Amino acid sequence: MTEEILKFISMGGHSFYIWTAYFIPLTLIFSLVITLRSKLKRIKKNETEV
Amino acid sequence: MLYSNKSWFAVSFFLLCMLIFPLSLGSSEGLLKKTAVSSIWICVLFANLISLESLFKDDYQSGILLQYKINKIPFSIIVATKLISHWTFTGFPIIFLSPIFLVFLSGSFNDIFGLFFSLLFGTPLFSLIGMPIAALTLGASTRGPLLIFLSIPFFLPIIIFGVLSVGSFNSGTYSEYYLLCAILSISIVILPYITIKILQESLK
Amino acid sequence: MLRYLHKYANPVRFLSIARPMRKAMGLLSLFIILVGLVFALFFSPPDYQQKETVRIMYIHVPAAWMSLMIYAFISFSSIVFLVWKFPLFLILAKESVTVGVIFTFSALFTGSLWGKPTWGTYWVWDARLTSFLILFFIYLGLKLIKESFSHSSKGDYAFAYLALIGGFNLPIIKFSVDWWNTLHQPASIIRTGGVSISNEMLIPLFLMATGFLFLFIYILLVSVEINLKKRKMGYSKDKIIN
Repeated sequence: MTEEILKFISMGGHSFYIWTAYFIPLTLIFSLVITLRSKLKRIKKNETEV
Repeated sequence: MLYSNKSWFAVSFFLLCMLIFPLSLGSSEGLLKKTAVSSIWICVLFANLISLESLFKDDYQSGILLQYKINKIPFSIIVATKLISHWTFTGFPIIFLSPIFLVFLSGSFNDIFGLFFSLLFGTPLFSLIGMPIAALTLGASTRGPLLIFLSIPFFLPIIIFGVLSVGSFNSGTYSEYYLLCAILSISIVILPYITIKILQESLK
Repeated sequence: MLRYLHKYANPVRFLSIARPMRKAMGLLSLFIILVGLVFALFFSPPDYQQKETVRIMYIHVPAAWMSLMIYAFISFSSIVFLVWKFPLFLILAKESVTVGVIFTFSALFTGSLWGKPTWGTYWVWDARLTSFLILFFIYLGLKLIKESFSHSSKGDYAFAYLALIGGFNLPIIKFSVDWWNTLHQPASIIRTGGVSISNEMLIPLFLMATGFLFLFIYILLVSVEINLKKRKMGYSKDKIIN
């Protein structure tokens, strides 16, 4: 079982390229989503106070 | 007329840039000979970038543009005048100076006519494409760097075709010249019109 | 078409349909992207030439598609704004710039990561790569001009006109770069043709593309809602809530 997982993670020797290629773009996009969501929440809170 | 001493700035900047290439590439003739045409085109680009900033700036800041608008002077005349004067003080002198500098940069003599014609079609394009961008950055907070950043991507086709056309002149195929002429003829119809629109918006 | 535009160009009415749509889009895009990731990482087979690195394609190609599509969207909305003066379309165009920058950067970044194991270098001055880099700089220019005018309405027109000029110039730039490339680089490193995509590879590609599209719509709706709310509350600048 652990061998299979390790084999999956190593991706045929190209683990660095594949995992960075997936990690960085998805992190960028979802961090944008999270900042926008928190902004929207803050604005909604301000709106109800006003 | 008021700012005439500034208008030679672009040409002197062009001359100054020329100095960089022998100094940075080393004085070995082989390398300079190969890069001479490209270096001249890069210097033309720099000179145009520098002169674009002052294209509408003084008129905008001193309110002359607004006065033109109030006095109902059509913007088409202003834009045409600006275009012609900008080209006469940046493009035109450079066209005639460049063969001399081709010799200084130890370029081959065969390239002189090719370079002359490529600059003849290329420099008006620099002025034409730069004009709407100079107009739309009027009133921006950091105008100079913004102008340079925005205009370089749009100048790239001219540089590509300009440098390539010099090589094609010697081999007898003129395809890049036709492309430059095509872009020039499209731009001369569309871009001044867009510039007029942008200037009218910037004065509202 | 025009009547439809008129009806929903009104910000209040836009918000009334945007809010339920936003929630649906958010959930849908998250679900599709997760399923797409599972397909891309587990179920799709490795390519027989590129081995496992072909999995980078499932994030690279959709990102590239999205960045081109978003640019087309920005120029289209700018033209609509300039012709019919609907302020909503300017907001739509402005708010999609940041997403466009991120997608273009992702396409370039994953492309160079894909290039290292398959071609042997991170970067080649290939026509497609170069024109994508130029697209990235044009996006950055749009973002810069959006931010340097935050005080007045002049920036709105500057932005719309720049998007318009960029939209017309991009084909010319692309053409010139292709032209330059064919003369300068006769032996291209990229293999031409050859790779026909099987269905098992098409499924994750399609899933990721639709997921990214829905994610873009979701982000756009959220940021437009933020923008409209700020306007309603009288904030003229972004500086106050940040």
